[in-house]
Amino acid sequence: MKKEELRKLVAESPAEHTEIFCQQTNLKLSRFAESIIHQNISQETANLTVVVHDQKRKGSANTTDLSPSSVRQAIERAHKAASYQKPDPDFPGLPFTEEIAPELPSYSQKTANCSPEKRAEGIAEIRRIGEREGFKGFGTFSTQANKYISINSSGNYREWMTSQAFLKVLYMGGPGGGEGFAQDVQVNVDDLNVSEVAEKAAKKCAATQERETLQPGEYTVILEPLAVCELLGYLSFIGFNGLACNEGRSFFTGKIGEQVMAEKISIIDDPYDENGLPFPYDGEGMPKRPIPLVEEGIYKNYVYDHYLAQKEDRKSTGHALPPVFRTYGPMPTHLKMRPGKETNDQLLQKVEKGVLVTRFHYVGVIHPQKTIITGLTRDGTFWIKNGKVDHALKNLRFTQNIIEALKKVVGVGDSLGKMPFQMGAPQSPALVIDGFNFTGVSEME
Amino acid sequence: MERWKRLIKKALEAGADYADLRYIENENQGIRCKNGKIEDLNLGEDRGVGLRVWVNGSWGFASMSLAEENLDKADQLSGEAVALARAANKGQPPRELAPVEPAQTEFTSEIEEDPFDISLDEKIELLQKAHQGMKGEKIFLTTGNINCQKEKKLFISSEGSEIEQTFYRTGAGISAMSTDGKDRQIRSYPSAFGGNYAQKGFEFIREMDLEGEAERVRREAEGLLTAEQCPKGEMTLILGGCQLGLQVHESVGHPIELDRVLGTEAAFAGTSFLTPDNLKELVYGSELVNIYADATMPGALGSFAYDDEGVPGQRVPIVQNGRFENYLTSRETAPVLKQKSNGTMRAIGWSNFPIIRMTNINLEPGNSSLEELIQGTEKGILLDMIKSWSIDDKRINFQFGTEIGWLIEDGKIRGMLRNPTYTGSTLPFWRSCDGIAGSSEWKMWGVPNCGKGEPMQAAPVGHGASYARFRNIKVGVSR
Repeated sequence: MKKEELRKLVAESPAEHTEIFCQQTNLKLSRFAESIIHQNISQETANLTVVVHDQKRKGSANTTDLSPSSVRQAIERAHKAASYQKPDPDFPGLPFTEEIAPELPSYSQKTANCSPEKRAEGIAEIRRIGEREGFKGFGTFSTQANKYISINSSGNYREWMTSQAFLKVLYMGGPGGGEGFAQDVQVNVDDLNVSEVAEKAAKKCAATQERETLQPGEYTVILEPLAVCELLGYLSFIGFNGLACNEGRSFFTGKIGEQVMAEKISIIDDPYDENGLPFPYDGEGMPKRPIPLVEEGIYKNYVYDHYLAQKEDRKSTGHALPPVFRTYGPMPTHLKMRPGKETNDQLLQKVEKGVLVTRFHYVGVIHPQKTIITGLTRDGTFWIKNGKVDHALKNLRFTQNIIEALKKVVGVGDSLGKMPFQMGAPQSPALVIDGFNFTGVSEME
Repeated sequence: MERWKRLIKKALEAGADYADLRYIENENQGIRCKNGKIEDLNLGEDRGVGLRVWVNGSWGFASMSLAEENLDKADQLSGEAVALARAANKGQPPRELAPVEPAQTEFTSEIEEDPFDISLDEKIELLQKAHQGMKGEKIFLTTGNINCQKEKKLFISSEGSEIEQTFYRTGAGISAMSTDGKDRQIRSYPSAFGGNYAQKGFEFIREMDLEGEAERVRREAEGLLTAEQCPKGEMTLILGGCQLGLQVHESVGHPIELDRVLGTEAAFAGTSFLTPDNLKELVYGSELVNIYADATMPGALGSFAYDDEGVPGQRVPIVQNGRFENYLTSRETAPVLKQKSNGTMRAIGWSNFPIIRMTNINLEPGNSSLEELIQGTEKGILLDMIKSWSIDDKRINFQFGTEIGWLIEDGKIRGMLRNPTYTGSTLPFWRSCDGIAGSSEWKMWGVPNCGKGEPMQAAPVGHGASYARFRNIKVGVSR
């Protein structure tokens, strides 16, 4: 939609305050199994949400039809919905700022233009590497281009674009039925190194051919970056979430200034980081900005959207989610754990006996406030003996308090990995944790 | 209709061996109440079309949202879908789709009260009354939600199917969170994470009696704060229907999806321990265990007349007297087993590619009762209501947490338990089942958001279950 059309529609809204958020996405995705593409799709979607506030009564409406008549109808539906509401005395009005986010390399036309043939070539390369090793390749190669618009009746208007190219490779096979996984995500599809990702997955698969059973118990672990990113993603939702902090549902409630993790841990939410799928504005069109959350283990800051900031007499930190998700509360989407100085070999040498985890699977939250989660390891779990990877292990179930684990960090890797989530990507180094609780083994009995 | 038929024709002209199309219009109404205040009231609409083509044994799929101004743009989908199918084909041998009889028919969910005819005032009042009932000294957060959806779906195929289906889906739920300053607990009704859902009208929500149940929800949420911690150890476990539905979902429903078995979800949701050599051979559970996939149940959330390949919805035995009998299949996967599709391909909305989805996967009632199951338990626990869930990528090792539990000693309920969890391995778990309650305690549980696929598709599925008892289960695993 054009800016002037939207401005006109917002100006004509019968409500006192009107906000529109629109996301248009062009997703191209190839899924492959046994190195054959079994799903090759193109999705062109649009989602527009209108939120109106009339006499402090709020209503919202959605449409996928971006024609002016349809948007006008959505405004009318939102206005109707608001009429059923009771006034919200805390409604602070809609935000406005003249501040512009810095130019960020968040979009690549090459990603937007990536052809199905290019994806197929990449998958053919994955097949070649797999055949060389006797493995079959499974995974996804996708490219996505997004256009976002945020406009409100306070005069705020922001328009920005992002893209991401995402490759996941899982090899399975070999004489012992190994499994190895690797992935990468980039703004520019040309920065995805398909061969490198595939070789990494193949190496893991080769190393997991014969897997032994490890009895459950507490072990020292090395969590590779993807596994730590998973913990960060959950911590964002149940811990750093500004609303959860405000409502007393978060571990971090009331803990600003307290030592909550090991001194080796520093976490920043950095939407500007060029390697972390940068993102200039939040779901209210406010500029996002880097904000330290944990400095050398000490908890530093809450995150806010406009509503919560006004309620606590603060300023928005640019963490509003788009309207359709906003009831979850403001959340950091670009968590980045500061890397250390230790190489992978040096991390291994810290472990006399322990477990190396490639990534986690199907994590569930058992107790949000205590940050207790459970899940499994997959696609590469190994036993470490005397500072070296000794043999592969069957997948293990863990049940672990995230905060307790981050208190026991004794080693931090020197390189970062990342995992794409909605509107961002946590980044993390590998960690050595001196005590991680495994509560089960995945094996047929 | 003519526009869409033309699109199918263009796809064939562009080289497709087969093509099908779904044109969908959706109307949604969502109300979410928090501490008695309506936090979100959303009235949504969407409309779009998805075209799937089969070219020399490969799929291509293209979809787009529709506006009045861009209807002509949809004509491009045929060329795009065919190009995608061609790009996917890198010399793999041609394959056949399982045959299906073309159908020309209509279907509409059976409802008594159109949920969109009920005023928003009435719905809001219902949630606010429930909030009043949940208010209590130790309750710091109450939530309630009502969701209504009307989906009109047109399916047409190059083989001559023309199927119009209209689905009404309604659901509601409430929850109360309590605190004593040290701990926090939650109770929900009728199910957690948004409540229970069905393919019914507003009568389904009225029958829940949210207001009438609110006081019990409050009492139990507050009671959990002083309840004993769930004991640790191996003991007898009785599961209530809501939790048992999840157990069926995760440890039966997903492993039997044949696309998953064949590896198409491997890098994302995982595979399945249930390899094809197990078909009609494997002892899945004890002889008491009978499980059906049933898309034909009126009112159940996972029902339909035809799937998204134009295959009729069916009732299929999955486990009979403990033995594994059938997978969920599609036109592409069924020929691997030399079978016809049993009709479980569904896509969520117009934008997505259809994949195998659960229908209603039901644990059939047994001949016992909750009372008898408890009486036959020397030491054990009774658990219900989903709180956390996790299962491995082959669907073997699971761990679930529930909102509430009760200690059983010497055949009697002795007291409430908090933070209950249990863990196990799929086959030993189902083989340890030694009692299932009967049809009077059997109920359908609708799950509106079963996640699968990339991009993620949240499907409406259903599970019927009563109470069931399992022996020697590890409980109390948490930290």
